[in-house]
Amino acid sequence: MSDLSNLPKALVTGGVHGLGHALVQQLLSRGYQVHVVDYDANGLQNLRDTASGNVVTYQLDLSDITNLKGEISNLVKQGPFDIVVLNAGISATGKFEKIPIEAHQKVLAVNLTAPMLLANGLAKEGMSSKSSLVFISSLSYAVGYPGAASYAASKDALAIYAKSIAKPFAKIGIAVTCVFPGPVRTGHAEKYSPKGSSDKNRVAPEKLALGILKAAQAKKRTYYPGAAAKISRVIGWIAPGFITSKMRSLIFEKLDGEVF
Amino acid sequence: MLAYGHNMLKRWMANNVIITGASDGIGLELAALYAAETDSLVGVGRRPQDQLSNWPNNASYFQGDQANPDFADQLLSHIKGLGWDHIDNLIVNAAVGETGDPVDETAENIQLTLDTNLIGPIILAQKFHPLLAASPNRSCLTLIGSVAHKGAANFASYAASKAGLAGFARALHEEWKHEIDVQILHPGATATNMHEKAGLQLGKARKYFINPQYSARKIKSEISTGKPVATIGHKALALDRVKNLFGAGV
Repeated sequence: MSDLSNLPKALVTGGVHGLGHALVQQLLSRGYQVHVVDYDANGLQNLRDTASGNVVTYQLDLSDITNLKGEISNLVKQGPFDIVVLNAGISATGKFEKIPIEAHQKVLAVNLTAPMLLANGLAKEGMSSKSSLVFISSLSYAVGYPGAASYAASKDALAIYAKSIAKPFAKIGIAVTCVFPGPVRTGHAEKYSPKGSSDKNRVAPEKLALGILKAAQAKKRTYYPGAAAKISRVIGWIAPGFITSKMRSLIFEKLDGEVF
Repeated sequence: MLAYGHNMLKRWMANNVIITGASDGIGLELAALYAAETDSLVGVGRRPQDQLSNWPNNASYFQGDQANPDFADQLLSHIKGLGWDHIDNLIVNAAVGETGDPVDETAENIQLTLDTNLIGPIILAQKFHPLLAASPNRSCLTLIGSVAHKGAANFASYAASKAGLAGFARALHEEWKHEIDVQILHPGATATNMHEKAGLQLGKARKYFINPQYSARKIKSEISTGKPVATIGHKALALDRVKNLFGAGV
């Protein structure tokens, strides 16, 4: 039996579907022992059965913050990790006031409180001295997101948390990267987009995963994947009101009810 | 234009007003300003009312903690108990923060900061939507942010919570723009007790911080416009002092 203790270690949250799945596959192909956190027990089982490398799985509901606080110490013991990608995310779309408050709370727990607690807990003793910590924010940080107000809140907050901790974390050898992807060709994007919207402009998760790992390797503080994201970022900076108003007509006004 | 001016005037003379974080600092100053104009003011704070030395006599006070997930429902019951059928201004000002290296921050502090400064306001906005929409005037949801919303290494969770509030306000402003004004106001560093509570000793630097009375006046002025974003900062303070020299203060 080969010695697994020398393998570099990665941790990916939300690693069963979409972008997380692509990240896990990429990391496995690069020889990492990949620790995957997800709520989907069947998906984790499937990953263990089919993975082409060394996978360790944890079935965790990241919206249960009380439980997560207890589990962080267990995750820390599995480290030190060389790369951590805090990818898990959910949304709730529609008219803000019509979405149940529990759905908004769940979005904020999964997208914001959980990654901040994980980053903080792992930084204390769960990361190697030359490691990468990746947050997945959203292009909504640049353009606004009427129709997903609590999601927008969570992703803006995550972006600024990543920015704020970058220097203090760098002092202990952790390079922080924050990613601002636009729509990705996943079931997640399809679920929350206006019905019938085309996926031709959505980036493939495999391509995005490659870009994210490259950005982390290069210790980039921020990564806007693709030309459309970079252009949107500039427009969002120059004319934030205009682009958010456009988001209203392009997305909010086309949403057919609430999805959460 | 006339209608806009009429709305501004009505909001300046706001009727039913709620201010959270009203037991200290900017919130307490805001309460004094609004109490001078209306008897329909409810201030909210964590401290019991008998510990407040200068709470306005004509204003109601509700003791509650914005970090509590049931806070919005409790406040809603209180407001309905007063017989209010609408709200003109909901000013969400309560906030906590702790300074220090983000690596050393405790999980409890991260959670408390997010619950108080971001998740609590989002719950309030949702639960109070019907009362804001019922206002016969153009009502306004005012979220008090911070200049730290662009990032602060020693206030990482606080900065994140205020950035989240900014992203939330930006989205909700677009969603509600035909019905309710949503705005976020970012005060610069203000000479309140919050910095000491956060573990930061200001010392002599305190004199460079904005006077909370000035911040409150500026915030009230921005509320009257319904502008979606504004910064209450030192540039504005400098301009105000020049104006004061010529007898034209804010």
